[in-house]
Amino acid sequence: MTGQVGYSWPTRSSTSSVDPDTGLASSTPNPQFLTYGFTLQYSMPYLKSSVVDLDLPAFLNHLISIVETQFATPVANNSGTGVGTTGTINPGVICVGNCFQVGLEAIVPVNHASGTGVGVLAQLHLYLDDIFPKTIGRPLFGPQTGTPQPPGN
Amino acid sequence: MHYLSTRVRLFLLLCLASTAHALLDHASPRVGSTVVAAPTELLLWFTQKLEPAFSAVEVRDASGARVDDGRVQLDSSDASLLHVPLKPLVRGSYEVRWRVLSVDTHTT
Repeated sequence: MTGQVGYSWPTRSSTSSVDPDTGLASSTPNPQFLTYGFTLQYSMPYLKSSVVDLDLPAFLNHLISIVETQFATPVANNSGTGVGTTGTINPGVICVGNCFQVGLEAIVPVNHASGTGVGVLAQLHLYLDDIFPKTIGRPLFGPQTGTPQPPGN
Repeated sequence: MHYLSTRVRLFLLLCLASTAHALLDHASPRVGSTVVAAPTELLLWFTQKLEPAFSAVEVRDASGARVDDGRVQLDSSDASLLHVPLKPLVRGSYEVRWRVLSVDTHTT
């Protein structure tokens, strides 16, 4: 389980505009937001290697189930904006290999202000140092054939 | 032609990651298992090739006494397989602790 909390300030406290028809100027405040979220994951590779090996099919042993959430709540400079908390809940699954990682998540908005449909998030991570161990997988600086430190040091 | 509905947005992120750590893939006897006959050695298969000089495995009984003989041997034909010879075992529960170094110098 992981979590994060942040705070975002707009570069401008308000946005001004002029109505082209009436010529009247208006100003809309840009709220400051508290951003937060968490992830809940369970790793089947961890289950197999550290808890109990259930002799499941190899594909299942490479999966990590995951639920990610992210929210933004206006906490300042939001008077009269009508802006409320928005966020998404993203359930999905990650498949971990030795040289890559593939993930697929649904993006479910928590309310109407967050969106009106379900989206999809796909991700592909390549472990380039494993794919190209003799080129970009080598250290950029220092000896190329240095002696590694023994465990515990 | 729209390959994706306007309600479905597909993001493809290509990122770098460095996870060349050797993780335990499987073991014999299996992790968390109960066996009828006492094994004479423990076999550990990892996800990466290992550097045996900097890899260590300890097998302890319920009282904390080591029941491995202190040697860790890399398989002659599979550099990701460790052999851990065991002392004669009696009925009981045993815990395995390992720490290994993959050939690309990542410690797990």
